Amino acid sequence: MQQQQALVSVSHSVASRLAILAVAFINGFVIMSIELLGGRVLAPYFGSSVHVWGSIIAVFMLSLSLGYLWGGKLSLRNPGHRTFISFFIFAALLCLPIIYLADPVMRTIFLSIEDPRYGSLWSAVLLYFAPICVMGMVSPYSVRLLVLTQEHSGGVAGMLYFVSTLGSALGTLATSFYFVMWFEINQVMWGCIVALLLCAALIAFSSRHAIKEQTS
Amino acid sequence: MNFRIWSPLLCVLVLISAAPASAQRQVIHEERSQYRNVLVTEFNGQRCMLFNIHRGDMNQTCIDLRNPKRLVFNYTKMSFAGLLLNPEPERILVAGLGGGTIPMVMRELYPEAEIDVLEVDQAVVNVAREFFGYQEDEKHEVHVVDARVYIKRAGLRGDKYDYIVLDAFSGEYIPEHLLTREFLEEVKALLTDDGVVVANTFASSDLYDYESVTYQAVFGEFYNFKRAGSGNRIILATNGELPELGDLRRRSRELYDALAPYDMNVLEYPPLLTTEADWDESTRILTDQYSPANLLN
Repeated sequence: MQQQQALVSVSHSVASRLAILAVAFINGFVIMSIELLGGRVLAPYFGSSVHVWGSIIAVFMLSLSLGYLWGGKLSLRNPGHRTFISFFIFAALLCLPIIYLADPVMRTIFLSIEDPRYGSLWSAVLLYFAPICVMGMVSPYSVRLLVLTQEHSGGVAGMLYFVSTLGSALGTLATSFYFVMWFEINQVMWGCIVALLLCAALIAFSSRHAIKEQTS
Repeated sequence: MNFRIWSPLLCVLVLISAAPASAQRQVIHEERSQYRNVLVTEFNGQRCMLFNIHRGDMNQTCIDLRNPKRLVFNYTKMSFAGLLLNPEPERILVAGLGGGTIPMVMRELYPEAEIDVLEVDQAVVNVAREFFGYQEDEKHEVHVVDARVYIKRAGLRGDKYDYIVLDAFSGEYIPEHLLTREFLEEVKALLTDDGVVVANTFASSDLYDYESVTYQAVFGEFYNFKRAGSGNRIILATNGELPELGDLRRRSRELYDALAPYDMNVLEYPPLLTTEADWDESTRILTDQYSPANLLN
């Protein structure tokens, strides 16, 4: 029985379980912060009409939905902290084009697509699909890392939804109420990248700690 | 009885009892919009376009039903001060339609001018046509588009205008991408050498300082036009040198007769135009990266 549980669960220690909840929170926070900034990134080329927000929200939802699907699939094979850590590193790297390539990407699209609805949609796809998709993979993967027993799985999933959506709510508020007042868009984006890298570090640190605990 | 619990209820009661007083303002039409529904009301001989009736007086534009020529709003009248800087506009761009007052008056004053109007909301265009007598013609077209998108494209085409009015600000929500240095640079690129930009901006909020330094960064010195009792400030900026006060006086005398029927006394304008900076010049410039206009208002 003990053996079987060890196969199913990957995170035993309190520290590593708390770390997973913390990164789920930060991940939710960062996603909504980037979404809110997205409207401001696209506005100089496509305006701030209702279509532009429609494009951004649709692309974020699509990216998250596929991220959930693929993250869940990935959790079926050799689930472990190493893959989990790599999500955050990839997500952070994939955010860099939003800072460095947004202007040339949007200029190219602006010149080739007349209709600002489709211009904003394609820009949102090119800039946001990859990073947000990877951030979406975090959610099902964290469920896999936290679930110890079948009967507790619903509770674990509920707790994860709770912290990540709470993070999203706070990310939305903090960005729209304060960050845009204090910082430039790209400064907030750098903040998001640093936060994602901190997530990777936190998981790396807590899992190493847990392994030591287990072996000793 | 705990007043804190009961006070919301009291508020509701007060509102209900106050309702008959405002009921005289009759809603004659409601147009469905992708943004905010557009209401047309009639009250006291005036017909007005509103975006939000619940938040008090948010009239976008009004006409006097007894004398449709008479301009109702001070800021609309003030915006024609741009004619003192360029009295013979040939290609006019107006961002923000409202009831269409500004383009219609421009058409009457300058029958030969080409006029392009930008309005993001089709519902506003419909209401202006149906209830405010707005009419396009061969050389006068309204484009349903975000002003930023149109102006960027016009710049790529190499279009030029000699009279640009920026009036795309409804009281409640400010389009932040239309306040930035980058946007104003795109506007400036459309201006002919003798062209003028007339911008309707906020006179009273924190935004006053931010907008002032941003216009200054792009256009250099500009004429600032404020009047007591108006919450609006008109910025008059040019591509080159600003005309002297003497020129403005002379032009105001020449324009007086043409503008008087609209209830504008343009002779009053020149002494009120000033290049003096009465704002905090250390304020941060608004850019595409930093434009929290709605938080500053």
